[in-house]
Amino acid sequence: MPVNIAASRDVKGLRGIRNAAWERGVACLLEFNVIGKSIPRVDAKEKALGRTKFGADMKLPGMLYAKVLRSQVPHGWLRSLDISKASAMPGVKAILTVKDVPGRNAYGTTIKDEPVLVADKIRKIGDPLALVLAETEKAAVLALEMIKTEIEELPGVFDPLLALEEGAPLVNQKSNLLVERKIVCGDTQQGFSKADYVVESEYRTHHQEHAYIEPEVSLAQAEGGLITVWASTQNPHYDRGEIAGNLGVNVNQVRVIQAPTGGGFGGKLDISTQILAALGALKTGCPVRLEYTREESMIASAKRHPAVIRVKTGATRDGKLVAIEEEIVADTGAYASYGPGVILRSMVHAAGPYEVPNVYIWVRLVHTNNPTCGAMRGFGVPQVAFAHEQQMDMLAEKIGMNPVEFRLLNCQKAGTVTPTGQHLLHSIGIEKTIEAVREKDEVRPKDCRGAKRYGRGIGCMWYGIGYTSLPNPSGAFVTVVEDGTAIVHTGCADIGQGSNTTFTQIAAEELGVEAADVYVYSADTGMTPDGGPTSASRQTYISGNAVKAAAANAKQIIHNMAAKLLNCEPGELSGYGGSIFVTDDPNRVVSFKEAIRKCYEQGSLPISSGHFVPQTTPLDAQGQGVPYATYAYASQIADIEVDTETGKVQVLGVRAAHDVGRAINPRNVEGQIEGGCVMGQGLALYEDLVVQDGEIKTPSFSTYLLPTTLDATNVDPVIVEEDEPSGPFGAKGVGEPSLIPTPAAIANAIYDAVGIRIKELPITPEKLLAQLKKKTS
Amino acid sequence: MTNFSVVRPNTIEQAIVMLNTGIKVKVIAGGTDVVIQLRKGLGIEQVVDVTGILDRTIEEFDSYISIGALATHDDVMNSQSIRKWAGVLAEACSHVAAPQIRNLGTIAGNIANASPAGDTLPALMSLGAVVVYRDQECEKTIAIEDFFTGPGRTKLAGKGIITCIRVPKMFQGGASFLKIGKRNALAISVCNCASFVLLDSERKIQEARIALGSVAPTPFRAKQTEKALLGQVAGEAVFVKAGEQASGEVVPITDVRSTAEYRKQVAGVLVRRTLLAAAEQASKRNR
Repeated sequence: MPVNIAASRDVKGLRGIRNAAWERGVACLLEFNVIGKSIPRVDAKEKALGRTKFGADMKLPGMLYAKVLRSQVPHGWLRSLDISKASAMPGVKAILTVKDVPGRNAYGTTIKDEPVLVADKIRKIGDPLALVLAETEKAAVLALEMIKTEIEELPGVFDPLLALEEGAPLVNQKSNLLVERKIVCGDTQQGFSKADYVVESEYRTHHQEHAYIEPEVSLAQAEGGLITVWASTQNPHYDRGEIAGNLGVNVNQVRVIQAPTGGGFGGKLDISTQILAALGALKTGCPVRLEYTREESMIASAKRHPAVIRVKTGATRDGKLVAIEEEIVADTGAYASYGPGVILRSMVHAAGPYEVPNVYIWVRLVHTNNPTCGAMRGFGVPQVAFAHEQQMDMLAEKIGMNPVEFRLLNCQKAGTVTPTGQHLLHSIGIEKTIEAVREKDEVRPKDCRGAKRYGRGIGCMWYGIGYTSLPNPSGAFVTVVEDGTAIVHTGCADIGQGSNTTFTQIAAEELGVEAADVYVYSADTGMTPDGGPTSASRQTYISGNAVKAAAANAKQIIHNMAAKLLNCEPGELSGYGGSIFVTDDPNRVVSFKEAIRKCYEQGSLPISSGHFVPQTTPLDAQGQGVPYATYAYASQIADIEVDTETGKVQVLGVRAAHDVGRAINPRNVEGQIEGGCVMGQGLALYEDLVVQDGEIKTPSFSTYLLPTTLDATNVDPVIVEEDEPSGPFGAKGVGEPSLIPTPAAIANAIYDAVGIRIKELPITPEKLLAQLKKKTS
Repeated sequence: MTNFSVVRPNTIEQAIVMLNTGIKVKVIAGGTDVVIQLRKGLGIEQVVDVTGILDRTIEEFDSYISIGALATHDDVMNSQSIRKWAGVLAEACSHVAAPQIRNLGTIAGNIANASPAGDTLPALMSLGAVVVYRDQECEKTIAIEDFFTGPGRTKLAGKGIITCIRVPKMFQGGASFLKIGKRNALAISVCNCASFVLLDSERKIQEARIALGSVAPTPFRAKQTEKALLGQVAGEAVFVKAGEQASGEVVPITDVRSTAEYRKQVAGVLVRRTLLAAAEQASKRNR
């Protein structure tokens, strides 16, 4: 029987009973053995010692180097490709074009609209035109320059609002409008009639680059009827299907092994190098490695969607939200990528973590010839949070309420019905996170010397765990081997977030053994079941549940054996730290290892599988349904300093409270919160991807500025645990939530400091100084 | 990256010959700028490695300090002589990029690279530094402010080699350096400024040098502003006016890092702030 947390807390009162055995049994039920402990990350030592071999460190004998010829124009027809000169160059083994792609030459997570190699239409700068395979990287680069292309340029469209107008150049299909959806809940007209205060604004957010430390890389080998690809990826099982479909082979003829991956943040959910490397290996018979340069990574990979958000929010004079109307137009660029999912998530979260009776949200996703936008940490929610949190502060000011009190009054609670009509019942931690950051509200630094002004702002968010209104299952295998140690097989890619450690702890707790006795094999399609992508903050909740279920099923076999040994029913047993005992009489005990020995002796293999699917329903035409089984919540308070003469903003500190259900590994959760806040700081203040006529003008880290260690703010993470009954040991997720409220908190703090609202990201010194000048003149 | 060769001359004379063969040549020391240029191609055919023929010593003389061409930013910012006699240069060096780059990049390279945004250049100009170089004819000296001819271009025109920099000791007066970058490290200046002032016993300005970066095709002396300051009594109001004047004097452009408008505004702020700090230091030293 799995330890029930809610029940275990009730046992506390019984601790007075002085019976050693009882005491021990109760102690086990009271606290977890492995869950909630900050055990070291299983991959930490090898990485700290520099021993981990990443994709770019991998080499095979006879390996060829691949380079991609990319379009320099954003829109056009590829009329011809002349590879004759380039093919004849020394060291060049082959040059592949669309004619060499044996399969469907189309991939994409929701819509298969992106070509492996362009057949005719070029839709963005960076579109792949040809693949060079050479004995050295240098030879490959030199050959690229010798390929001749003939391109008939077409007028492009680079503004999502212009793209919707009649007569705009068409990027993909008949219309540039790719997705249009709505939420209609209550009656906003009636709602606004009750409003004493209404705030109406337009917000604009910008492209953001993931900037993972490791650029994309794949190494492929085609041997003995099997294509093996080692890839830096968040999505190995998806990659496998796309490789097979585009190479015209069966899915079971492709094996994708996730190479240790240096970050993803959503950018490695899409196909990058995987199919091209596999194609090269298939065509030449040699192993092929394709590795992006940093600039290529920035030009070719998907970005965060820029959005135009128009929103009208109304509240009564006693501070109750009564209505929200919102329109969102997001630019997905040349290809759909994850755009349809992103815009849907923006829509569902647009009203924020609040109870609003009347809501109308209208969202549109638009094609342009800009860089493709796809999944990026937050998946459409940072954009809407930037809007709803500034709306909240503006309304609070009009009403004359403290912004924190205003949020507490309106935040979701048990019984709240969301704009999609979902009844929230449990694990609604928003209130607790607001209280947790408010506790910090001690001394305000009001020391305003010279040109400096200090400010403090709050931002809140909610985030649905898992895919929006779609089944997104995960499976796992657990094998307990003959010495009593356990092996977990999960499809989940650990891209640095620490899932292998999380699953180690979940499996150990469920089996009743120590973490050191569990080893996790992950993200190898040749041996692990599909875990779905490392995205949507879903892996702890969904794959964690799958691992827990698999461990529980294996445990059943073991406890059946232990029950025989202890002369009891399996249901009477508990497992803890390597012992199996009768829950009500812990003196009747057998070691886990002994039970395993007996299992093997008697031919009862402790091998099992498990899976989990979150319970959701589709959204209907009015946007009504249950998009997610559970939500994470967060509140952050940012302290900032503005130099009023230069417009420079320094973030002095962020206190970030996150309701994660349960922290399986608190240090890991804190790491996610800290990293997310700094990424949110970058989104708010620094990272300015300049795109002009489809061209990224800042494709390097000297012009695309990330916060450095001297800029990164001090983050004070606070973990709030509102148990999610359907989560593994109560856990939800934290990966994305951590960056969502940060830009809004910073924007609100800037207003607090200097009385200026910047509604367009990033908040650059130029924009702020211009507004400051306007205000004083 | 295109094909290029690397040569390592044994003497300065050999190096000068290599620079004057007619092919496109680049001198390399720390390589923090040159390697980036090589990656971009730019038709560079040969790289002349001068690390075997120059030195990195920082030597103190009666009236000046000599900085060897191979001295890194880190060497300069940690030199006791520089900190004592030319603190503004140490300060400017500490704002260059990040520790890794400061450990490799040389101050002579920063000069030869002639970026309008180079952080050490306004500091050197405020101190009245002199560049010592060799060309086909002989060893020559030139005031640093006369050395730059355009963005990335100098009087050397790729035909000579800087051997050392002479920085006059700042016996009196005060100097200050400030920079505006988009972040706190690894930031190419959106605007930088170094100011030097010399005050008499009544705090009247005897001498002023104001040098700015990223506001013109080359590092820029705000000479009209300097002139207007002479004879004025150092103080907030005077420096506010100087800032405004300098803001009108500079000629910045809009590029990927910032706008001309913003640069003009913050140039004025930096001029005022550096003048205030320099004057404060100058009067302290007068006491």
